[in-house]
Amino acid sequence: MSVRAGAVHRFALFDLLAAHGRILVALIMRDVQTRFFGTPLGFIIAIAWPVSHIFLLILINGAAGRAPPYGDNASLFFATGVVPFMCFNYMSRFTMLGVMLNKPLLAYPIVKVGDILFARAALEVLNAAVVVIVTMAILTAMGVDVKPPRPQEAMYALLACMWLGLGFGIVNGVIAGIFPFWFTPFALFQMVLWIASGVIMVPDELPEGVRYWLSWNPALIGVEWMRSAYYEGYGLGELLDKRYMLGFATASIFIGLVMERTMRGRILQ
Amino acid sequence: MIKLDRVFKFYRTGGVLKIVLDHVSTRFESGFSYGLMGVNGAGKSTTMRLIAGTELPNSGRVRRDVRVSWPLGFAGGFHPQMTGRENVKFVARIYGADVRKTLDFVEDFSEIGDYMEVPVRTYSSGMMARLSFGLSMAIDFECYLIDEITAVGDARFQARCVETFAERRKRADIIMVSHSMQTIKDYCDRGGVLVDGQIMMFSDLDMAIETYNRLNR
Repeated sequence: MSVRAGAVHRFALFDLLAAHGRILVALIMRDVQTRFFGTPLGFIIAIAWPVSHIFLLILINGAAGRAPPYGDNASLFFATGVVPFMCFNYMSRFTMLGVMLNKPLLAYPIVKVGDILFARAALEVLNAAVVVIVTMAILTAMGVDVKPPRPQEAMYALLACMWLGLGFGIVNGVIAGIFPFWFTPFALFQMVLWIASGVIMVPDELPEGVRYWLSWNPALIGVEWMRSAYYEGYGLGELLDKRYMLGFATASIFIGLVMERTMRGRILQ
Repeated sequence: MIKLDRVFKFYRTGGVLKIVLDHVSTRFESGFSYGLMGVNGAGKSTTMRLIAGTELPNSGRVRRDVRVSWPLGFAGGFHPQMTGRENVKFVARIYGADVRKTLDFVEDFSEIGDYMEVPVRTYSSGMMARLSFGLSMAIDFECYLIDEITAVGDARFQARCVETFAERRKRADIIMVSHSMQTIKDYCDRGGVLVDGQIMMFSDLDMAIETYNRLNR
């Protein structure tokens, strides 16, 4: 009898996983179709948007004509700051937006908040991969040598940024599921992070007091990490604390999931 | 079977505490259809949403070992910004049904024509109910939750609803909220009466109706 019960249990688990797989796929397909203006071209826009965002920032910062803050190519310096920050920023923003935009789908009892969060995150990883490849292709066409001396480190840096973005996205997504106005303070906070992440400057050259406060910003570490993969001897200061960043990201994912578990009912109301 | 285990549910509206279910334990057994009755504001719709799982109890648990539909009613379970077609495709996917077949069935059944291509928020309540009903009939649920959905569409459409539903009833159960005792008698074999945060269960439907009528007096 116990054997049979065990078998039944395994099937139930299998069914559960299969059901969640279906729901994730359905949510991803829906997001791809409706992310921008509900057109089938939405997916192209979903790629073109961050790419043009990245190049606009590179152009604005490069147009000043000043010498690159580090290295010998201004475009590469800004790109190595903007791209990791965007990986973090887009991941957190769209994971959070996913909850707000897909909340009505919770009216179908088998769709759970966690499904929405993870569907968005999975889609965002795919998006980011395409965005990074397209960005590198364009930079290469511009004559910039985009191949990092330490490609593995660059990959880790981007993954760490997305991991951090996932943590931010889940925590803020749960809050935004309960308080829809949360998007505005979140967007403002992202702007502050942008300024404080060393995207357009070299944090190690800042005064000691400023550096101390910036060292608490995990997104800054992601940017430093990326640049350390590109520039020999970059980020040798105490700012590049990878363990702090990964710990911060993992802790916020954990906290976000606990929040989801305990506040599920309030999101549904 | 759907089992409510010490389910506690309350709302706070404008500082006023409204207890919908006060630690209720009861069960809806498979093979029987239940009519849920109660005066206005007794919490019938909330109870339906708790049974469906689209709302969670403040404490206690709802256990289901059957596939339960979303509550069918005028409110519908649709995403307002998505078109009817997108909603149907999404639901077919999440329940693992064949998307093409589901679309064909719903288009044919709900008879809302070109409105399939329009966001659901523009629908009239009747159209919403047609789509909701058609879609739920396209998916194989073991228990249908029906919240006051009796008079949708013209006589012909209603006749088709009754026909399709009668067919489905051979395999599936219903939990139904209605103010029409005749409707409840047509579809249900057992009854529950919601009163003062409790559910009084009757295995005899007539007794449930009698109790409800006494409360209404």
